[in-house]
Amino acid sequence: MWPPKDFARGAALTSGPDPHRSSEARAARGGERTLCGLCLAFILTFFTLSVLTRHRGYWPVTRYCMYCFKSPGMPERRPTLFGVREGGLGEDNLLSRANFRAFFAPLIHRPDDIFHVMGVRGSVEDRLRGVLELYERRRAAGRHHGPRYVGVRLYEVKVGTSLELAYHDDPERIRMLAEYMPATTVKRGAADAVP
Amino acid sequence: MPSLSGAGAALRRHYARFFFTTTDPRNLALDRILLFAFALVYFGTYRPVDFTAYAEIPDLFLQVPVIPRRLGFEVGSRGTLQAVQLLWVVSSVAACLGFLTRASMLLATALFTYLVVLTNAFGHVRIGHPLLVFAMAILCLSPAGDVWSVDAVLRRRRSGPAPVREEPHVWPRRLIFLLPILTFWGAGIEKVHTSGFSWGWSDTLEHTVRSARYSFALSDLQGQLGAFAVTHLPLRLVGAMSLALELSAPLVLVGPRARAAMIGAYASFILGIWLLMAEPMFEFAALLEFGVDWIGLTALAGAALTRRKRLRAARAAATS
Repeated sequence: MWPPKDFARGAALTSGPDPHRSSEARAARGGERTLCGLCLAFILTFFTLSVLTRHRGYWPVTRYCMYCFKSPGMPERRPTLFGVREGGLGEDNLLSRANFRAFFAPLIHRPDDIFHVMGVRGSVEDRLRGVLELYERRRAAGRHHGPRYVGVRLYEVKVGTSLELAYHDDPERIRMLAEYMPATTVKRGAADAVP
Repeated sequence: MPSLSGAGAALRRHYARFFFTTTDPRNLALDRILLFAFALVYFGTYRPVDFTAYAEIPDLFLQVPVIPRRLGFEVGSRGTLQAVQLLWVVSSVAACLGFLTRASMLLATALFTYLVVLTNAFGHVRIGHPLLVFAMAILCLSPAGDVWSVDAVLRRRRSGPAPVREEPHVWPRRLIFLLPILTFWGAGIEKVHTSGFSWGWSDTLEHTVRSARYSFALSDLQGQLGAFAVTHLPLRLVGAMSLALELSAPLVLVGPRARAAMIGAYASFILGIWLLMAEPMFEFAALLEFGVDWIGLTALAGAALTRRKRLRAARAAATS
């Protein structure tokens, strides 16, 4: 029989006999059932049916795939950003442990996250300009006291795969993929160098 | 078709049992306190976020998801974000305390939604954040402020002892509990769809654990555990088991025992991911909590303790 016994326990008051109790309880019960049904339909539509039917490879509410791709193997090279100091004083790894808290927090938790932040809009040089702007804006706001940089370079660096190796603050640079130097911007590498 | 109608009736009974049995109102109150406190603690201490920092990120990097973009989402100025952050903290504390419960929960949820969109609008995506928003929204519809709240105390003072309410239905707790469960299930389906069942027996898990060594959040203990797992544990088997666990999520619908077992398994899964991959999925753990009848468990534990004490007393009396 519908509704089952459990439905009979309405959400109405139960203090003593009340002539209106049954109708109130029925109304509250009906409201609850509708509400629960609507919520469930919403959740199922957004969380499950879209995954089952659309197969976009990404979770419907965020652009996240839950490690769904099979690993092609450990990479031997990876891209990394370096800041260029004023007056030819060298370059610093912007994705080092020292820099990331000051520079990118709370955006990234591992070096590669920066490339998700940089996104796909604009050219590689535009995105490198954005990185420099972010760094300088945070410096101007007093969020970090790092050195002033005049440019940003994107390098391909060697990855340590040994288990003993943690993150290298000064990884071996293989080649420069692109750079943004406001005074003398030089394009190198392919436009899709940033992953 | 008697068999079909029988199956339909059984399904309806099961649906009713799952969503419309009653629960102790203190469970809902505990959920309210835990959920809003969790959001505060998570963003306040574990992953401390100064939301005003988002005002400094160049617009070039803005990647707002479709729905908020259509709704006209904008990154506020530093001052606006500061005000939103402060209001969110105040309304969340009020929701925890149960002061103007419904209004404070609604306000905290609305502001939290904005902050979640903000933190996920720059490429860094956390799957657990939207789940918290959905959970808060469902809790807003429930009578979570009926007990253990300032409102309840004020009501009692104003008009004497409150009328005894019938126990609320469990559906808000069950709906929230389904959020992480469906997420795990969807993750399993996505893996099978994208990479096939062979995902489970591939080296993906080992490579993920190795890559986690680059995480800035990795502690020494997690580093050592990861190294141990890669060298000593059969990670292909662990991968296959985790895929099987994700795909078997619907088992939570079978009954209380299966539900308890699955909650335990998923809690271990989340702990394992955190220890080996430095990937905190605490939002999922916080929502799995909604599948546990804490008040019932406490009563059971209390009864067991009392029984034990009585037995001891009886034994002592017999020996003396």
